[in-house]
Amino acid sequence: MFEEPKIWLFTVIFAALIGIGYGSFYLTTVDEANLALQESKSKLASTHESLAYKKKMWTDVETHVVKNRELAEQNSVLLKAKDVLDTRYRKVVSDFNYSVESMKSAVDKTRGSAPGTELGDITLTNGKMLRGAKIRKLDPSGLSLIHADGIGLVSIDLLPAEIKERYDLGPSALLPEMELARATFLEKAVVEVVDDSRSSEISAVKKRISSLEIQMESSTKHKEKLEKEVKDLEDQIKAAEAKRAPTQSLRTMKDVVEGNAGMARNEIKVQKLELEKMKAELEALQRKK
Amino acid sequence: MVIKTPLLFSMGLSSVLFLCSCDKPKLLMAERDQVESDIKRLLEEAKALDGKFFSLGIDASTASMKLQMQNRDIAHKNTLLEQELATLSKKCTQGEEMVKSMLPRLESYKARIVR
Repeated sequence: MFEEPKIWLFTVIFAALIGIGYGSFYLTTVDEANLALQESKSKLASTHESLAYKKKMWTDVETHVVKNRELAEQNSVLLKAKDVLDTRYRKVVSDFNYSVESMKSAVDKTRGSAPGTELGDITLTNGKMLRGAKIRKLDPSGLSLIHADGIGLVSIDLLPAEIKERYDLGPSALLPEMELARATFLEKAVVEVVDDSRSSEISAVKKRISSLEIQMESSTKHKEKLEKEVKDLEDQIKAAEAKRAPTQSLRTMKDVVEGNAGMARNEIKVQKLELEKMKAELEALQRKK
Repeated sequence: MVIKTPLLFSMGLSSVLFLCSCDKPKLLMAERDQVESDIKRLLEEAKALDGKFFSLGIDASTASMKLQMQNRDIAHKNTLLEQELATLSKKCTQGEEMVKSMLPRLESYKARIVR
């Protein structure tokens, strides 16, 4: 049978084997737990990053929404002011129309009652005197008069100021002056507004195009940087796989960066579409001008 | 003595290993659970943000850009409107002055000539 020291030697070897086995099991468990923890930490970091990005986007959106409201309010105030000005403009046009029509009606009435009117003795601007003058007919070129010496057409510039004023004739006539003023007002009002807005519109579109081009340049650089990061991570994953090292965290990071690169690509697409739209708008405005 | 030393040694080694093995993985797992719960919390926050984007009816990736462009458009329209208003206001003032100078002459003509 076994002697006592041999039993103890066997016991020691047995205990040492159990110890080594348990130690190995323990170390494996710790390694696995460590790996799992590392993966979770890496996932946490990427989630954190993704959330920070979303929060930033939301803050941007909130800022833009506030700005949007402010601009919309400003727009509504301006539109109200435009309504007031439109009413004011219509009143001016109506005042012009009233003045011109009223003057026209008064002049027509005076001119209509002119034939047969006795003017008595009148002295023309050239000094010639016409005795017992009576209006026969009123022409745009002058007055056809019957007088003591016969019948004759007296041109407007020869007529005395009083007669010119009564029948609203000559260069100082009020009706043509009023009609001209009305036409000038209506024409200018339209032309000036259109011209001003068009040239300023063209310069505004040009400014927007150049600012968008700058934005596109920076977006493209950002996209390229992200794409390079994706490529680097792919290389790192390949290297880790060759070494049989864990790749989970690298893959998660790659997914996040790839997602961001996708967003950057989308942004560039939207910017490109907007740029094309603006260029078409500019072309149309320039053609109109 | 020869017999007792290995016995004590093996017992001591086993107990140390046994005691050690109880603690560290548990701590690591607890830390991992904490991290996982943090991840869950962050994901919930992200989900809430996605919900906000969804409630606005916009795509999160292009929302900021679209709103920025929209703002630029409105600002541009407002600038044009301001210019138009300035021109129109000037025009109205000129027109009002013209009418103001014409009316007395018209009234005077009517009063003197048309009776």
